[in-house]
Amino acid sequence: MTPMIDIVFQLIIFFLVCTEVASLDRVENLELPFATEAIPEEHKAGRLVISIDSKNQIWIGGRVRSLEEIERYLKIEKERDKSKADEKTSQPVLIQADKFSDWRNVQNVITIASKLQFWQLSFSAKKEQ
Amino acid sequence: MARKPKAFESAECALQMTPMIDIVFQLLIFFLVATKMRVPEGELEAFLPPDQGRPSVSDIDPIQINLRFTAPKGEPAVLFGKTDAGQAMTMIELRDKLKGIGSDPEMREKVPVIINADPSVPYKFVIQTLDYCKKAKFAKVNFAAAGQ
Repeated sequence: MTPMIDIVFQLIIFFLVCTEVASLDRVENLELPFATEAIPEEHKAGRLVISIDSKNQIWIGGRVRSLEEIERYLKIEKERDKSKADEKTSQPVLIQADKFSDWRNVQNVITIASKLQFWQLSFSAKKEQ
Repeated sequence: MARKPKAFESAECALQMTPMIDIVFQLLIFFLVATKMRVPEGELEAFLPPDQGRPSVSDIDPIQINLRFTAPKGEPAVLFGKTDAGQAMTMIELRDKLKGIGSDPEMREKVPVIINADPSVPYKFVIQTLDYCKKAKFAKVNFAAAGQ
């Protein structure tokens, strides 16, 4: 019996650890829009994630931010690595917005990002089945 | 050598495994069910113009798609051109129209598409429009800047 219990405990610990990792850096209850042409998400190092929920609040790193704070945050990120200046190497930015959030906020974020020369912008969407 | 009493011998083996395994399986099943599996996400590339704020120098008239706000969470009215010319369309009609224009390779490679959405239009319709443009294989899709 003892080896079996060992394995079962291993499994429990595995699932406990997995759940914690998956819930990091995500805003709860975000319903993404559907898109048929969405390509599978790949992990990109150093990607900035900006989330916008259905109440039109903008989140970065688990906190609600104002547009001024976002501009400051992106500016700091930009200045940290000046080598990433041109179109190919600029830091990727992912916008995750709720499908019923206003276009206004997304537009503001895009405007700030393009003003600060972040060229690799993408939107997250759920792939339509 | 005297044999150990029988009662003692059986007490050593009486470590009760079955209830423990029951509980452990309960826990295992609980965590299996409680774990929310992450839904795989996709992404759509946004096309940002490499030059900000400067009007494009090409002579080709862009296709401008205007998404006009109608009702909260409601589908926007779709209009074309700088002056909102023509009849308002639905999203489905827009898809078919874009597919029609995009079937000409000359058109979809050269003519830029500008998506101009009202600030109050729900985000999902803008993404839907971008999705239709991608589906019709347009090479240049842009968003109109705020306040235009």
